Amino acid sequence: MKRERSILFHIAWLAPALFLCIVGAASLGSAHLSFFDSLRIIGSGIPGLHSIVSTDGIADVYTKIVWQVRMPRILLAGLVGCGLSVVGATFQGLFRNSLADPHILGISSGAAVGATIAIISGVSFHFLGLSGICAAAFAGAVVTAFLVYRISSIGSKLPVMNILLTGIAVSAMFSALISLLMTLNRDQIDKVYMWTLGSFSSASKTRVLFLLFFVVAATAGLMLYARKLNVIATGDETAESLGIDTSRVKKVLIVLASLLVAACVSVSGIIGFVGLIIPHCTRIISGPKHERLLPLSCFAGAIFMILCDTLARTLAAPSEIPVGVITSVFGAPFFIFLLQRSKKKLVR
Amino acid sequence: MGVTANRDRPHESADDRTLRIHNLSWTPEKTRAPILDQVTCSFENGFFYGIIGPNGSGKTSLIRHILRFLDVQQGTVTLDGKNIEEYRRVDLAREIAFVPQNTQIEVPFSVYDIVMMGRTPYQNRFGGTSETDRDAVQYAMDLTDCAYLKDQEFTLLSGGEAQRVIAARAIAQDTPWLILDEPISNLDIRHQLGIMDTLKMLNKTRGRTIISVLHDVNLASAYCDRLILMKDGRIFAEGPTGDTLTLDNLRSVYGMEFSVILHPETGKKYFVPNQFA
Repeated sequence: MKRERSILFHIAWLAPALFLCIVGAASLGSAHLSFFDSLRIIGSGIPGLHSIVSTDGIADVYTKIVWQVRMPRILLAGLVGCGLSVVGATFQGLFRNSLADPHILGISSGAAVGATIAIISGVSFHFLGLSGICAAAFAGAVVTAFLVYRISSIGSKLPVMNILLTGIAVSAMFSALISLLMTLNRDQIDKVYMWTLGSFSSASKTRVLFLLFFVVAATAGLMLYARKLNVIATGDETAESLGIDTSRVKKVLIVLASLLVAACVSVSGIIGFVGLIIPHCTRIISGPKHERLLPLSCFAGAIFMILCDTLARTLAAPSEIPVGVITSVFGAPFFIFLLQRSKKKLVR
Repeated sequence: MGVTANRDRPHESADDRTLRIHNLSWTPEKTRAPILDQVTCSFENGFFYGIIGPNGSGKTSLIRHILRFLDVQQGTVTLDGKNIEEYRRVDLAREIAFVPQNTQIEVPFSVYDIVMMGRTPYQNRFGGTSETDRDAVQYAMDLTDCAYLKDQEFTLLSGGEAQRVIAARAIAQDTPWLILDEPISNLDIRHQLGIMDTLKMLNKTRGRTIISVLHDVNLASAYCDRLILMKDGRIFAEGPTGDTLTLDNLRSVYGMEFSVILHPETGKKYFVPNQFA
């Protein structure tokens, strides 16, 4: 095993890469903009750089397109990618299962039920500036997380297998419920189906801020437990004999991760694969330690999701491909490629 | 090594630190017969204890209660006069280190990372690893002969190497009490004796109290000061090794006849099952 590089080394190249992705993504779309112009527009919008970077010679309309249309969507995609990847990494460590992903506890299906009910009942209320569908999805996710948690805990313990199986059962039940709701409301099938596939087309500044809060708060919270998560990943009893209150730490981690999934899914629908593969890909550079894996997954997830969403909105323009399709169509072969290349590191 | 100076307790001056088990009974759900049946025994600071007995006699269940992996149903377990249920986990982890029977870990941490995890009870969430942590890890790896494995992935180790690394983790934990559940079952004969010698050394020169479940009666006889013989969830006999390890006791506990032979060079007693001879 070669000596691991400092995490700052990786952030030093991932952060600029993320920035370039954002600039590139902002230049692409029906109104075409050169990469350099996009860079100037974004640069001039960053506090402190305003006086250095000028947007002379770029029509105002482009600045508006970049900042008001494209950036909310790009940032939302980045935040969702970040959130789902961090949760995926956390769950894989916590459940000691390489197949764990953010949707494994049924939270996302719960969100879908909430969204479906909101769609077919045609609600038009707004809550804290979020649409009714978004708010209903968030509520559905949180209620489901609570439900799964309550069902699977035995006394003060939370056996891993219990929570995984409960999550799968609840997931299956809710999927069936959604199918039932769709068949009873055939006129809304399209809308419900498209919601579940996931999309960033309804991105807004409010949604970005809403999700930003959850991503920052939950990731910071999870990072506080990163070292304990390392020990828990080697076994519950080992962790206990090393002084960790395993039940309590598990609860805290599951609550934080569940809230983050709920927030991600409520603003974007159910986007699969990201939360599963990004942590695995990230481990190639970060190694298994969570204090390295979690922050680096943030960057990798954000970059991957922004690339996918950019493809989703430009490949078949003016119509859109669901971003969940892109994550799987491009992500799966890439993942298989990595799997082949570094079998030793991915498969234990 | 000055690493552990504050914890060094000379073997002779064992203060009144005792681990007491009183009337401990345990019947798991869906089982009728108790696994532990009114177990009462005590472990005094400074000795090397062996727990022996046939499979299913309750050895592992007993230590799982001491480590608080299982909630006490009936009876009490006290350390230094304080009920172990009143300890915070982290405080208990500064008192007792554990080497489990099953050393499987699926995450590809390096050997060094695994041994460093032994320092968890002393680390806070923001600080990195201290000089003391690194010294304790190096010391533990030297003692268990696994320093050369330092950068290897734990998942790729052989069973015996893994067991030594886990023993190193417990030694790095630097606790007055060290509990081991068949710590040498996967080791070759040289490393078996190596680990037992290390434990003996920790016991003699650093005053660590060792409590180890053992399957090999002769190793127990050679290394332990005191033995606890278990049978059917009860303590069958306890006391100094010479008094407890008798042909009568062995016959009763294992249900088979043993003979004693003397080692031609050292003159030490060896217990050999008659079926075997």
